[in-house]
Amino acid sequence: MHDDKPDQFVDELLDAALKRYGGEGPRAGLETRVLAGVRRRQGAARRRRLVWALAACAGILAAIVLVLHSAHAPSGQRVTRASVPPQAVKPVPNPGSADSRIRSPRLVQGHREKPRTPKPVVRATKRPEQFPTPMPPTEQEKLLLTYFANTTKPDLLAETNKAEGAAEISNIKVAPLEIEPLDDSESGQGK
Amino acid sequence: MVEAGQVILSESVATTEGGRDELEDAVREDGRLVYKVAYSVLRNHHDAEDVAQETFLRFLRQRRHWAEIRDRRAWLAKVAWRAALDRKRSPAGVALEDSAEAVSKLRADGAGADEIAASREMMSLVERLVGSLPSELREALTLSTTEELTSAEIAQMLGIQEGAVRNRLFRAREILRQKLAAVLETRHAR
Repeated sequence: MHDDKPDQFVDELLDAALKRYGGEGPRAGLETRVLAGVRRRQGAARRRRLVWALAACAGILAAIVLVLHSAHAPSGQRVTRASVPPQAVKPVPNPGSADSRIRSPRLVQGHREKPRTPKPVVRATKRPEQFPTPMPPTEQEKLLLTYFANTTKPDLLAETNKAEGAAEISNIKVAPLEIEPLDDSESGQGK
Repeated sequence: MVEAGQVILSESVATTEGGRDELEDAVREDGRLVYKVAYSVLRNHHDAEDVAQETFLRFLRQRRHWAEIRDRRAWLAKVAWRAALDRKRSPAGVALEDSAEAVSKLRADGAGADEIAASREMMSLVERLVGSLPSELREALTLSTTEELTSAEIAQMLGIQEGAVRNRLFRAREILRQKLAAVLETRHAR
């Protein structure tokens, strides 16, 4: 059994300790410091929000500028040299068309390409000595070309004179023109 | 100090006149409560004032919902309580053995209960003992030591019945008394 005195002392000590445990209260000027601190923190929060808003606006503007720039850039510039297939240098049906110009090796080198870009795959292929023919000649064209290649110019002229139509024209006889003098009476009446 | 405070009060942080008045009223009427609730958890004046500022800043940010706050005092105490718990660090005070030794020495020297309670060692010892309580008992006891909150307000903050608050306070005090007696008895026996 505990005697009463130690228990009483512990109770008193605990009461006193718990009373002090809650603290002696704030120092003077708590309201002032709290309001000043709140104002400072709110100002800092506003500045932080402003910075974030500005950063967001700058990001949006940059995105808009990028989109507009890419929209106005010619489509040919977006074709990279590496992406051009080797078939692009083969003869195309119409050399004057825009498509053939785009696929031309020279035009593929856009101005936005960096100078240190490695050589494209297109350069690896053999470049044709002659500009590609638009279409292969037809059979008639081939015959005509063969004929002209094997025939000289005098022969061509002689062949032309031999033509049947030309012989007929040379045999035409034209009668001399006879113009009768004008009658005086008729001329007086005419006056 | 009072003049400086009045100047700051007039240069209010609130944007509207109504908000300014409301904030100033809240700080004047409940600033002490908020501070003591924070201090009861943090055991540090500086940290308690920081939490008080944070609590009133949150109150200001909620000004659109002020009409929905039925009991401003309880609302502020609850916010301060939570903010203090978020900030609470593990105590790095004097070891329990050293505190108990110092308190026993004071008692042996014939010091009274008030004198011993005022000592730094006794305060450290009580903090250790309170910290060793189960959380439900510790919370109720800590809030009650602020001497600013009634049992009903503590019950509202903790979300329990008022009778449960009284029960927890009784149990907490009983555990503390037994532990303190054991510590002092052990030292006294040596």
